[in-house]
Amino acid sequence: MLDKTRKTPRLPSTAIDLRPYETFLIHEARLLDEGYFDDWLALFTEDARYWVPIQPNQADPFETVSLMYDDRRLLETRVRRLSDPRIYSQEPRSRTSRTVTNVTVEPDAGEPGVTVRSKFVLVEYRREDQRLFAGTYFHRLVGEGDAMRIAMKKVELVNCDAPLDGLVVPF
Amino acid sequence: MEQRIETPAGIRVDQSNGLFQVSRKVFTDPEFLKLEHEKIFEKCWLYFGHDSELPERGSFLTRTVAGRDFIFSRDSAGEVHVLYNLCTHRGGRVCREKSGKASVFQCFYHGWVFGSDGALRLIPQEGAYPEGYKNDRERGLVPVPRLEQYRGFWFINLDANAISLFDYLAGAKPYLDNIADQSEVGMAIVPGAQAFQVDANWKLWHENGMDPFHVNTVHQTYFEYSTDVAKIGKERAQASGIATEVFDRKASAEEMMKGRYAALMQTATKMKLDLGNGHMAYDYPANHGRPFAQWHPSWDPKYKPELDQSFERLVARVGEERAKRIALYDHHVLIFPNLAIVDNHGIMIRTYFSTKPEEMLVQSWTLAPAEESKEIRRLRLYSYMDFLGPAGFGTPDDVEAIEAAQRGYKGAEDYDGWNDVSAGMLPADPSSFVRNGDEGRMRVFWSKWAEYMHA
Ligand code: FES
Ligand SMILES: [Fe+2]
Repeated sequence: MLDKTRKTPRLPSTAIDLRPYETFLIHEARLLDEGYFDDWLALFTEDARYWVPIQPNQADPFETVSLMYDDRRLLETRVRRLSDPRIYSQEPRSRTSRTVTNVTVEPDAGEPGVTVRSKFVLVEYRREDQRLFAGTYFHRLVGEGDAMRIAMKKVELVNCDAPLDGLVVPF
Repeated sequence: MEQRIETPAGIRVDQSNGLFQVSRKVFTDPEFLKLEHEKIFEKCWLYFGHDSELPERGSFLTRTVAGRDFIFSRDSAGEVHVLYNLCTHRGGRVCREKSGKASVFQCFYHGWVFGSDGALRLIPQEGAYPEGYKNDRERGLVPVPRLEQYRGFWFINLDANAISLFDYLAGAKPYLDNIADQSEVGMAIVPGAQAFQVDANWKLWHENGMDPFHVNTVHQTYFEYSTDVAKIGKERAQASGIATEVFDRKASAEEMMKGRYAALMQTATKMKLDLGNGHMAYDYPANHGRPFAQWHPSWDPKYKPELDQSFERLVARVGEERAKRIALYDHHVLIFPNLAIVDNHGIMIRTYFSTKPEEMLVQSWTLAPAEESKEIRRLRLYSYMDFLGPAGFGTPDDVEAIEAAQRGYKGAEDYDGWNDVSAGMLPADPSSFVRNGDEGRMRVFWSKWAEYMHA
């Protein structure tokens, strides 16, 4: 059922220069696609969170189980496992292709940084099997230029509550 | 040559030579799956859901168990029902939502209305039927043949003549008690059920859950990570003046096995590992934090007071000996045929079912004391997702291992291949169990499986 109380999205302002954000997101997608996981990790702040909810419109990661909810320590472990030869679920490695598009800036919610909303399509190929993921990214970005960092990355998958096979490569 | 007992049900046992084998056909041949559906899933008690999932009168959810679509509902009198989600008129799907609250269910096809107890309440074209037509119990939604619960765990049985759930659970009951008693007000399922689609036969997951040998190889990366976290944590704890010697058990698989062995030797069944009716379990002292009543240096010291307090309250409630058993040990219990309850980094309830031999649907829930604080709940979810989730640091590697095995079995049809489950049958060195564990629990499962398949 559609929530009748929700607000219609407003036409995004054309006054904001999206190029720095787009460039950042494209760069992040490339690091992931090409397996530069340590460099990907370096894009996150020390107190960053990386969240993949399991329910559509899931309000928070603390009262409901999530697919992933990583603090910096867990994210480091995830990356460390990805670079370990004994991660059997990545032998052979997945080949991935991420497309990031429809970039807009969310209204200011009073948190530090800027929340950038985008759409992504992720194709993952491994062991004669191709999987397709799609959804919405929310990146809360702090800092500028080379110093731009991810304070929060939330990934809303369109099939978050579907039966999924193991998830190893980050979205 | 020793006599070989060959059974048509796919296992081969040669006691005097210490050989126990399982035909790889049981994972690939549709005939076996058909027989399993008929002789196991239509005869055994199957886990359905937890009482907390129906918090109020009128709460309902829909769930597929053993390939059947059911409605799980609590009626206006508070009674729990499991009903086939199929309209008695012409088969429409009566309830099309995942969960919610409702006093009636209306079939969207032609509008028949059923109460939350399943009784037919209204037919829009009532005049077309004889007087009192809708009041016949036969017109109501069909209830599952048997529905019983133990300590909040609801099970169904498709066989109306089955023994009681109480008797069926046999020696597994104390394990359910140890979980149910972790709360003063009642355990509750945390929202966010997880489902996995795995390209392997359901029995491979059940086997994996009682397989001590894979832990050290498949999960190496996880154990190294937890060792590191524990080391950093220990320094942090000592810096804040907490003594950590008591936690100094080495987090190695070898230590875990010693603990399991010691724990097993204290049980009444000793080495039998067998809880009856095909169920089995193991316990071992936890060398990590447990979100119920056991803090560990790998966790922030701020969590210690609440966890210590819940331990003290547990002692007051169930006595020191049982409290230690509940809080300081990890417990795995596998209930025949397809339920695993793991109580270690959190409590996980998991079922698995195949509709095709080479595929299974795994459903997974986590359970927690309803009264725990927000802080501890947060810690629990981190701890749980770390290892046990579809994106955790343990599960994907398990999936990889069993999917790889399943792919290989296809070829094994050419040469009549058999799996070897003999470890510990006739050990040349009996102490090897202490170092490595053995495959005795798998044999408990397979023996019961063969018994049902023969029946
Ligand atoms: S099938 Fe349900 S009302 Fe006809
Ligand atoms: Fe495992």
